Amino acid sequence: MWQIFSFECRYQLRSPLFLAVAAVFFLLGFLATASESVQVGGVGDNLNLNAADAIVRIQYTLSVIGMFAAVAFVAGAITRDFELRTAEIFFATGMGERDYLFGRFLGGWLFATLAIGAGLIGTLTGTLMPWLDPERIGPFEAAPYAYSVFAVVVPNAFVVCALFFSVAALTRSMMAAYVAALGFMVVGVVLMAATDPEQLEWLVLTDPFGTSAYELVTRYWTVYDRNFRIPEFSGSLLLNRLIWGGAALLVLVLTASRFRFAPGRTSRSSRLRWPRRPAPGAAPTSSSTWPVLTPADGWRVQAARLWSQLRMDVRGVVRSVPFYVLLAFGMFNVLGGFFGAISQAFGTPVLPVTGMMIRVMEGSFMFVVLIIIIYYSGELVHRERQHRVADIVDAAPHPSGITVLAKVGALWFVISALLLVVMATSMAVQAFNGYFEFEPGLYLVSLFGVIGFWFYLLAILAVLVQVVAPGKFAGMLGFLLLVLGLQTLPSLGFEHNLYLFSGPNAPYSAMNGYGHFVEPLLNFSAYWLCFSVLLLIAAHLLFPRGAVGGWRDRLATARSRFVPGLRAATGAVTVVFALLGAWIYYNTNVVNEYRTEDDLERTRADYEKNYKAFARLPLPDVSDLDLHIELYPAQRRLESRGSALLENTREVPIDELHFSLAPHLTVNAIDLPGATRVAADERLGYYRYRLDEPLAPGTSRTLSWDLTWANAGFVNGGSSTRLVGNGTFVDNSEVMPLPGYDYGRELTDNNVRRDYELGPVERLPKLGDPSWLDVSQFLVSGRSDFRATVGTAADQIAVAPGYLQREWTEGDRRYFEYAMDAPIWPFVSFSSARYAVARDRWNDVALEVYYHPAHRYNVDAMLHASRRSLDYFTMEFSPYQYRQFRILEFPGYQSFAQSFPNTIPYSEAIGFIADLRDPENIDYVFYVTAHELAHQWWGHQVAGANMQGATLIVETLAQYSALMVQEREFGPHKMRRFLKYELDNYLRSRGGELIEELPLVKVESQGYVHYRKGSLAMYALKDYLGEAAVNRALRGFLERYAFAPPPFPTSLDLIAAFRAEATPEQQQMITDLFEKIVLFDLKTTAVSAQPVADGFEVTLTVEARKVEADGAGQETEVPLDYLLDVGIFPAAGADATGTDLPEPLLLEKHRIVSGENVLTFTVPDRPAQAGIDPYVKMIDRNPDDNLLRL
Amino acid sequence: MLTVSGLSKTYANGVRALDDVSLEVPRGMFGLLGPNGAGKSSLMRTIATLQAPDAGSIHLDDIDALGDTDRLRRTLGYLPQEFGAYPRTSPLVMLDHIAALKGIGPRAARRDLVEKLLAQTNLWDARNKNIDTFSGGMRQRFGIAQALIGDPKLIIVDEPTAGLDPAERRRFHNLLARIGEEVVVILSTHIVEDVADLCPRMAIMGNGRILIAGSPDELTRRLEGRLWRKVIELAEAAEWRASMPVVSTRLMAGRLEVRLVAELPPRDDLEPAAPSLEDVYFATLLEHGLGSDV
Repeated sequence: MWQIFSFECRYQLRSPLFLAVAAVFFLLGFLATASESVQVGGVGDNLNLNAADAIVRIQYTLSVIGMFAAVAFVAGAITRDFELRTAEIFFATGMGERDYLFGRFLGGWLFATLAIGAGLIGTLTGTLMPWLDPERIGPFEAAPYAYSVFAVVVPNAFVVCALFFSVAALTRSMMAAYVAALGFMVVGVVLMAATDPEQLEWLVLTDPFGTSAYELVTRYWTVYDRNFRIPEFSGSLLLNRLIWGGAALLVLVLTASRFRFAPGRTSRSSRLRWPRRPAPGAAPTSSSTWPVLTPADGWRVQAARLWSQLRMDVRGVVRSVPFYVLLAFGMFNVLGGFFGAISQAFGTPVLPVTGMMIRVMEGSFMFVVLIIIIYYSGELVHRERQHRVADIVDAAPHPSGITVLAKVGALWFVISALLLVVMATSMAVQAFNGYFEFEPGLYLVSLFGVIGFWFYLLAILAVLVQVVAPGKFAGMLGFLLLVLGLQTLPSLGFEHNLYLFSGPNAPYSAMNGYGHFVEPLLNFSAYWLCFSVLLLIAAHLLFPRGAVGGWRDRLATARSRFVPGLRAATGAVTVVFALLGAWIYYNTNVVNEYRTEDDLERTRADYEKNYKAFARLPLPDVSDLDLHIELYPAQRRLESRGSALLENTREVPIDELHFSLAPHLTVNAIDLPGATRVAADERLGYYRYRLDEPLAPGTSRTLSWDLTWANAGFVNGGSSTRLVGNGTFVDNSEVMPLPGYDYGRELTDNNVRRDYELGPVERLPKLGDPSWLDVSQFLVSGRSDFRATVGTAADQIAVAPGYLQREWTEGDRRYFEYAMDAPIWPFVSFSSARYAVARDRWNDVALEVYYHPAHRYNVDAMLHASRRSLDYFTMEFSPYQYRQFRILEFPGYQSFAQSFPNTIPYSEAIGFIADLRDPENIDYVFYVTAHELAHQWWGHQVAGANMQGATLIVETLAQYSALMVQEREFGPHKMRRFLKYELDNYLRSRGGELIEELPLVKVESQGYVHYRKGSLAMYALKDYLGEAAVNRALRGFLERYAFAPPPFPTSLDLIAAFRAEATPEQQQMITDLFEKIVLFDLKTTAVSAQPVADGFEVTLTVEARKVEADGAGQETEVPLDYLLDVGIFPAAGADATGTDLPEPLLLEKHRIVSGENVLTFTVPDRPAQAGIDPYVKMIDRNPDDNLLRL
Repeated sequence: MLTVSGLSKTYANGVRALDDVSLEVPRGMFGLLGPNGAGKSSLMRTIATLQAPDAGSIHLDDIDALGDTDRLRRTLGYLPQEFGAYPRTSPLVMLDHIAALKGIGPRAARRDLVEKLLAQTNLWDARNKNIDTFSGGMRQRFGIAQALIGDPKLIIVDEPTAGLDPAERRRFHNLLARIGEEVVVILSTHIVEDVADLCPRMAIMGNGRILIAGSPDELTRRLEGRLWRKVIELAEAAEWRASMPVVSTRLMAGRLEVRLVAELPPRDDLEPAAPSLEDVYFATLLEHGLGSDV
């Protein structure tokens, strides 16, 4: 064995494969840390560049990629002897089969490990590079490297090497080993799509690489953890490694027992066999000659040649195993994506509408297509050489272009087959989900046109690369590098599709179709199509026939093939290509400004640098707003004329007025009487006026404007999806001058800010900052009257906040006039689309849903949720301030809903296509509707002062309100499930925090805190204080602050209102919930039950721990002394569904302290399980150990 | 008439494969003899348009084979020394494909041609079998069938009989002999009998050069009266080789027959021998310093 082993080692050491693979992995590992443009595994923007988590993740990713290298090493080691026909020599030496096998294996495994392990050295080297941002380099730690070696690189290499080695040894086929490797990828992809926390626990065990187990263990890790922690090698991590390590060892041993030197015994049996036509049949009447047929000419002959070659190539493809493997791989790939997308929120599916399926496809199978193109371009172009048919066909008189076209055609066949499979899969998923509104036309356009088009062109590029490349593998590598290069260019600031071999992103929306993306798409498609024709011509000219000579010979041959007709065609295509390029350039760079991501960042940085100094100038309030908006949806043009009455509500005179203007607006006129414009920055959209006479407190001035938002021509990227053909949704900040400095434009990523020499971001003023108490989070001090006239296309309905006063038609334009009868925050939206309208009433409030006619599904559910919410809110909080409530659908380019006065734009992607047919699922349409409606109170009746904690008032209370309506509608069981998702979401999101996690009282518009943790905190508060007490506190809060003039309330005021309703023992809990980041580790370690006279005596042992975390997630233990739920449950009844617990035998709050608590209860019936905090009301990262079965 | 003149080719690794090769090949079978590495295949591939020479010219009647490769390919039938087929493909499918590439149509006529060729090459019964599974002889017959497609005026057959058993070789020879005398057929081989059996004209190549050309009869006649033989003990072989112009040696029932070329017998105990083409071959190689231990 050692003899074979050392033989293998010597072979590997000398082989270029080892050096090449090791170099590639070193480079990948190096770039992953040393370059921001290359993402391998992904270093989060909020982490150190040498964060422990980043290092480990990179190794996981590399070890997955390394699988394919491992095949080359170990499968190569075992099949080499069979391929080179040297096997007999070895076997003749009388060496044992086992010695031979293990020797080869150990050698292959060792070198595979070393080559993949080179990535780790690359990673380490990368972190030492001098150009890295020193702020993002933590102190060196050896632990992540050690973990990577022993838990990732070595075991993963062992698992894949053992399995693929066995496959190769038993089948004696390298291909079979590669097929197995692809199968592994399928498993990985399917696992990636699984997100259901209930299933993850066992699913991770099936992941051969342990990546999912690592994900599971670290899913709740904070930034601090990710920077410095290494997971304990126990639990599912250890179990996963043991299972796969064991399986690999077992397979290896089994292989050793089955492997025989004698050829043919174990191989060949698995080869695909094809039925043959029966042989008999009379031979042609025998004459001693054959017909005289000479080569003919003409297009028919060329077509026959092409057809014959294409048929041969397609035959070759469909008779190869990888074809089916890749199709299956593609199918599984989208399948994972589909199921991931369908279970969208809170485990509730969305209807698998075709538009959504297409969105999934856009993102998910590029990878498979690339594999297909790389693999088959190599196979097809080198097919004749590989099967030694080349000498025969090369000497035939057909033009090389025929061969090129056939190869491209065969590649197109494979791509089309994949697209068809994907389409069929998608339709099957739709049918499986009970959705039968198939849209084959849309599939064809999207899949074969918008998405597939680029695959077809890439196929041409790949064929040319293979034609030019010296060999198959060189060609594959060359094409891969080319594609990777093209993909990397944008992150280096080269973003123009004119050289990226791509077109603009064209998202699909059911409401707006492909909308305005069609024009650039067609232009870029035609442009690259012309280019691809030139590539085809080049392939024809350079296609090798016979012996491949040097480049001089090839160019000479190419010249001789470049006949006048072809020259003319080339010239014509080149001219069209150039003209299209010029036309595109004219549109993207002359009519519009071409701006890269860096340019956009720089614009924001410049805005901040230039104008932050003016941020604290005293600002007037808008006290009357009158807008006239003319929308031209087909042209995506908007004219905004209007006026705002600016009132000085401060105590000091205002002598300078500044306005910020969205950069897409063109100023026709801005008129401010009695003022002189001192500066106008059109690029950044900042205008400064000096008032000839200062605006005294209490006086006002009218600002009027005439602005145009023109979307002329088309842009290279980043086209706005707000102003569109059908489904415009814009807000006032996009169409009018906003007084003062716009904080919203500041860059928020501190890493990016450092690049522009900006200090750390200040997301919001500090809690309690007295200078901000008079400014609400809408950045004004008072409310404003509002009127608007909106003109739009004749077939659209335009909506703005307020009540419809008048509607009329002028020519082909339709006009709507809205007015609000009471002052509102000057924060308004304008929507326009071809809407259908559903109407309903709640008492004297008109309820209306404006929806895309195809999206009728959940309109009634929205109306129902609105009625229920109005019931609860008006009864528990205060009266509804409007006579009307409207929901307006907008295209799914974005997925959120937003609450404006009596008006709620609501994305087509979130509620309108939710699948609510199963009443067991969480009805999140109800939740979103209730949440947005609650904003009419929390936000529009009362808004917080613009500082930390403001969203506790607006968002957390809207969450609470929605929770309460839901609980009333669906019962507490559903709420527990809902809150489990909130808990999971909160704990996961902490690790993505960019700056620091803050407690609710200081939340800085952090969604995971004010929504997710907010839900949990408010529900716990309600649990302890009681719904009545909490609502009493809220009523009092509203009474005091609703519609009140400044100063505005802060989170401290709200918490004080809660505290006033709480007992002294509950004060600590309020502190923990709202003012600190507190986590619990509650665990039931033992339960026993003794039958006693009146039932069962149950003894529980509970371990409890409470920790406090800082903003980075570093934890310190603090003493726990709390009343916590203890629950004892009977065996689940037959009617129990899912994970819901049965009605408890006992549920009471009990005092629990840090450490071990032993509790004894008596219950009437036989208990089945018992434990602490069974409904997970506390924030606990491991809620599964709260209950223990008896 | 195929005219090759001044053809030279040096490979990138410095091997001079063709060294000023000039040759006139009339219609009919033409045998090209030479040891392995003599440059036969290079010459064949060059004539078959699969390799560009560094210098020289090739003409088939009025076709400039190097300048107008397309025209030559239309009238070329080429059986390469080594060739394969697409995996799991029958000769029926493969021949039809090659015929299509050669521009034979329409479909029905092509099909008819392919079937007749299969019948003529005795492959009819195997027409639906995988070419992968063919024996060497079947494979070569398939090779000649494909070379015959398109009524070629120039047929190049490179080492067709290597590895065939005697019966298959005979069958193959019969097939070759039937190919019309109207066309130029170049047969390259290192087996002397092939040429002796089939070719009215021939040339011997060595070291990238044409060493000798002519008709087999004429070349054989040149040796008449100059060839001597003797049967000796094996142990004497080395001594003989060192001191005599030994052309070839052959084992005969455990003893060795040596053949020598000389105007007069260098020893008294030699008997005159009747020259064969094989003797011509070995003598020519020896003359050019290319002799080997045979």
